[in-house]
Amino acid sequence: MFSFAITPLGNLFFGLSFIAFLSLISIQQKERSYILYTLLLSSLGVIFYANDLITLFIGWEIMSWSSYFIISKSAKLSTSQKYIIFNLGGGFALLGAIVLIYNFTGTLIYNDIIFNNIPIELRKPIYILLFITISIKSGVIPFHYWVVDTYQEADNLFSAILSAIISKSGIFLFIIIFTKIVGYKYLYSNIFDIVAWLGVITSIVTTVKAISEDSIKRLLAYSSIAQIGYIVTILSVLHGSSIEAGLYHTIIHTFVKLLLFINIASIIYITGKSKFSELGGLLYRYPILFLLLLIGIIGLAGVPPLGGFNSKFLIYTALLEQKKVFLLVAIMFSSVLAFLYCFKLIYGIYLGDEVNNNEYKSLPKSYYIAQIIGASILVILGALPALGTKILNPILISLDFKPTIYKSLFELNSHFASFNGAVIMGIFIVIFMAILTITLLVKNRTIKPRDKRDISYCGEVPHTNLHYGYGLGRELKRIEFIRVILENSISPYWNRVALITKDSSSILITLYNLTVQNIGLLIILFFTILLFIGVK
Amino acid sequence: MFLDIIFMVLLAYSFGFLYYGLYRNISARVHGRYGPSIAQSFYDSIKLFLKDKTTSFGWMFYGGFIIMATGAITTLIFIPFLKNSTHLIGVSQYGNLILVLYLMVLGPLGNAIGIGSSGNPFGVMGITRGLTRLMGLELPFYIASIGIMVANNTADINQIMINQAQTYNAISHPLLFIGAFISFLGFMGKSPFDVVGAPQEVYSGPATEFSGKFFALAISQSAIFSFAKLLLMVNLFFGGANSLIELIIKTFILFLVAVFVGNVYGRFTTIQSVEFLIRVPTIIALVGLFFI
Repeated sequence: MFSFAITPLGNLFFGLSFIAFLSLISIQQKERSYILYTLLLSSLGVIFYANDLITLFIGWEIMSWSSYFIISKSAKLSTSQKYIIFNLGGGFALLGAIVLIYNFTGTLIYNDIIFNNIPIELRKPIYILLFITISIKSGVIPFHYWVVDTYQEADNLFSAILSAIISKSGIFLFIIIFTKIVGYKYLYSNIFDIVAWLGVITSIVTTVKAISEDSIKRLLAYSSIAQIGYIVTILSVLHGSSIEAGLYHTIIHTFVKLLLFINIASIIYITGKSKFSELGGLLYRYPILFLLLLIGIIGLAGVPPLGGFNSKFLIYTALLEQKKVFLLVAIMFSSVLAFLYCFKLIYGIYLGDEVNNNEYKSLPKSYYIAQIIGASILVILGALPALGTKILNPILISLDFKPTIYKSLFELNSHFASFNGAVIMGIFIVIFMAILTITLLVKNRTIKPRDKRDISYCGEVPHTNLHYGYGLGRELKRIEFIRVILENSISPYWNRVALITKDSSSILITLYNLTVQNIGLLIILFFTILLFIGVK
Repeated sequence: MFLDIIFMVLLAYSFGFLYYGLYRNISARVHGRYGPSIAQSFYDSIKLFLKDKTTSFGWMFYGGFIIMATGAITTLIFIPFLKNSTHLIGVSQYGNLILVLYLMVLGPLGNAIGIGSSGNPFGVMGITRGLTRLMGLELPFYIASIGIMVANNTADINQIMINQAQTYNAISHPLLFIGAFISFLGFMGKSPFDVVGAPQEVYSGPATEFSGKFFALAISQSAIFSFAKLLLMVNLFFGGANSLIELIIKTFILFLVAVFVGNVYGRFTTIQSVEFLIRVPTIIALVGLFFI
């Protein structure tokens, strides 16, 4: 029954997972459970290499449970319960969709499923069930409720896995189901338009929430949801170029988030602090960590000359090609908002005024490895953008899409436009070096003020904490639409759902509790129903 | 290509300062003053560059300024000066409009990091205002750019210029142009969106940390960047230019309009700027986009 197949798509996702796990495992941690990590990686292997839906489902469940046990070691009970309840819900939805597909097609093997055998009126419920599973894993609104708390309370290094890898399993499911099983050609449904807009609304809302966060990990969690929102949106456009763009962004986001989360884990390890209000001015103490984070935020913001721009470019051109201009406007708006939290991330930790002068722990070298891997890939993809195309083309062919033609590894082509990454990188470096040389050649003395606050306070240096820039973003509450987003939360709605579930469960419990009184009640209920049917 | 790039940078540097000198003069006349000589800003930049003392807060402060200047020059050379030409096009054939829109962010990022590393608590106030305003400014400009790209079915700036042989985009897509022009006023640092560099309000903001060659670098890149923005507007909405003279005339007219509008209005606070930019030009540009 269980069948596996080695596919280019599986290779990409498993390759990303393997690199992420390898770089994290190299960082020694006493309290880590290696068995659970191995189980998790194996379950990802099962998902990515499965050739039938039931194998995929089993891998999905093992992934949910093994990650739950890892999270529950550090998180509060309520948080880990929230994680597992949502993910079990996603699992049930997936199982429901699988049962419906099997019922009408008689097989679970990807290539044997003829989706056209399913009646049209039942296709929408299948799509909805699958979207529930995908949205829960990817944190799309309104299913993002579990994400932020879980990322915050999970082990600092495991948050990197959650963001870089586990969230991508939803993306994998999206691609495998809608290309391999359903087939894009037969697929147009207005549900996909709704999902595309849900993806982009998710990214705008979570980006706004990220800007006003004081906790670094929560900011990164919101940022993860926002970035995955882009991927969900672009995949919902249902076109070959959008698949390429979504996969390219998946690669970039994996390495960016690996880099950023491990950088933050390093800072938390060194200082024991995890809030912007408790940090600041670490630039000259940890210059390498600063430079790595700088590369990470440039990649996250999608600013050239690093690789982050490539995926943004492909997303924009795919939307332009499909004339989805309003989706493009919304995505671009979210990207512009993201500059603010990118700056907050680097300013709050490394720039500004140093908050305290405590002696910090020294950082083991292993923390640098994963960050250097992520940063190197962003730089390499910046200069050789078509390397991503070269990796993605076999996947596009295996999914029956046209491969993207590229002339050289330096040039990234889309149907709408192209650019040369090596020229951008080369020009940037040459101009940077030229300006540096000119400024160094000018014969003047560069002096350093005795205290860096001398200038701003005319020599009277106050002895208080002046790193108040950490609160960047709070003033945005004065803008109407931002205030509305910040003052509202999804939690009351989910709490109400929990309450309703609890109440209805208590009715069931009462019925199961077989006292004489309840049996009497059941008999009355039974006859009432009979009477009702009879009257009808 | 190397000489082409050098010439483009020198041209932008000279005209950037010339326009800035004119701006100071025109503003002075509006205020009933005579104002400094037109070349004053240019002399200032040379004088500041050769000053024998410069205050630096460390290598990242230094690096931030260099990234800022690199961002401005890189943006400039990815925008062709002339239409369908082999000269004065820099490296624009290797890029496109989307790239230019993103390169425009590189300079402000370098500036923000440089100032942030100075530790000046007022510096971050200026940066926050700058980045918040940028959020409002970019939205209508991006919408207008998307509209232009969709209408022309290309992101290649040269092709967009060629397609305007019959009618300028400013005339065929007036709503997009209005949206982009209001943003452009802010990008040029003109009223009512000039609160970021407002010395009366941020009395000890980013600019007080600049000195010597860093200040020279800051004002020089600002002159180059202003010319790059004028150039982009001319290329996107006024059909680009066939010759240098045409380019100078078009950029100058656009510059004059920006200066006059800027002189008429008072100054918005940052929040007012963003709210206005989201309510007025964004909606105008969205309506323009709808009708494409």
